[in-house]
Amino acid sequence: MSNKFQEIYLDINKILLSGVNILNISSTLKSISMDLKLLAINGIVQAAKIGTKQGQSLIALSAFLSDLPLTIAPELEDLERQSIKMSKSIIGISINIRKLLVKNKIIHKIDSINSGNFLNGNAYELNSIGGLMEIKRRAANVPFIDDNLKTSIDSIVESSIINIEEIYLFLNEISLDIVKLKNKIDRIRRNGFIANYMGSNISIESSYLVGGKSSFNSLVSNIKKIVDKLNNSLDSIIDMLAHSENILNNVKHSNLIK
Amino acid sequence: MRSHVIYSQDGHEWIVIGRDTEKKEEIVDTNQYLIVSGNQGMILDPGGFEIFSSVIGEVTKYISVNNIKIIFSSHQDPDIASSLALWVDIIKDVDTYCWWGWQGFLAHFGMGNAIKLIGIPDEGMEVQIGTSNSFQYFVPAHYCHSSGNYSVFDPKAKILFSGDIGAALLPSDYTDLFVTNFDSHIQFMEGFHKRWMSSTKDLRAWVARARALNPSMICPQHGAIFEGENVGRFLNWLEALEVGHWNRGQEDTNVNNCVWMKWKK
Repeated sequence: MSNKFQEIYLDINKILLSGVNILNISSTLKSISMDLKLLAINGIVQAAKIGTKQGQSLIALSAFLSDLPLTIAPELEDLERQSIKMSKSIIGISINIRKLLVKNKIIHKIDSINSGNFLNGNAYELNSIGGLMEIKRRAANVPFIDDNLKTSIDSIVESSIINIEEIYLFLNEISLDIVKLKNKIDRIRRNGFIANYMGSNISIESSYLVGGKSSFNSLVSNIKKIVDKLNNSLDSIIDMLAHSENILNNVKHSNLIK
Repeated sequence: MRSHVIYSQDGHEWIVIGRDTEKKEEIVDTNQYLIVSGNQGMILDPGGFEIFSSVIGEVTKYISVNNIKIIFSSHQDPDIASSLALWVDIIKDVDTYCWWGWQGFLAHFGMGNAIKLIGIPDEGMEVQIGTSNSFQYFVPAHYCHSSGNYSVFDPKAKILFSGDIGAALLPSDYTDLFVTNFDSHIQFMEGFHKRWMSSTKDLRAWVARARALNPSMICPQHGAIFEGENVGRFLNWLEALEVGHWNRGQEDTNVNNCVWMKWKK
């Protein structure tokens, strides 16, 4: 099988690596909603200590902030779930390519058993349905030393067609997974934006306080840190998705799997 | 990869497939066996992923892959069974037999394929291939290498496939399929058996079982085949062997044979 097909195998493994990294990042992000929740509770406690009207508005803002993790947590769970699904599809492609590479070796073994009369020096590719059908057609017409070889080739060709169909299926699934992951990231980012916005409001509201300003300043700075961490992680996922999408498009348009 | 017919009578054949000269150096050499009876086939210990294409290439010389109905896995090791996914990817209608306790473990070799695994009970069982009353018997060999382990006896051919019992790690220039000089062959078997067999008691029970079967050939999964007088010699040697030793083949009674104990001092 051509070196380009080997390259596809290596490319798919690169996507697999990205998939695993995305999964790792998604898993670490799950703790962010808990961090936000703890910060918000701390804000409520600090605001309750003030006991004035300003305190009341800070309690309301912190309470709103403490509701935000309820929205973010399921989104982050979904992000992880979607990443796992994508990784499984990538592994599915990798396995099917591996199987095709092995079957290509078998066809060449069978050809050598049949004194090279079967392939007749031609390199029929097992990575295209057209190439597979050509192998099947030749198997029907070439005089074989043994019928076992002919029927075995049929089985290998049939199972290779299934491998190619599965590769296509997984390629399409991964494309959909990438779109879903991007949408999910947008929604999570929006929640991060809201958290930052609430932080700004808390900052403005607390600036009128005579005492206790510093605890709210540190609350706001911690919110910002968490949201920055969230955004950085989401940015890396987006980068990795873009990289994977690039490779996938190359695979799809390479005509090596067709 | 070479293949050689070691028994053939009335449409019933045993073929050994092994001595792979194309395999990567780091991969241990293995013997795969194909039984063809009538128009059906059975593979004994199909081998690892790395050698699959070579094995199947040889198999097609004797039978269409579609006609292989049974795959037997003597135990759970990767050199025995890591190719299972590829076999079931190509052959859709095939049953794989292994010890009942290994079913869930061998399923890990699936690579997206569902391997139809059939559990063999501890006491063994019989299976039929072909239409000519060809029965193969799974003979218990537990703790003779693996805790769930079997040999296969073919009463028609009087061949006992012994899995890793009788295995020898041969030098690359050893090309004989059969043991020609038993005494000099011991050096290739001794270390393997002392380390990889865990129970002398069970090994002796297996020897008694093998003697009762009275095989004319004993075919291991690594190394060379015993036939004729060498069958008896091999069984005698095995019966006298003390196994289950990891300390350079010696019985281990020294509590200090452990890095931790040495470090502690």
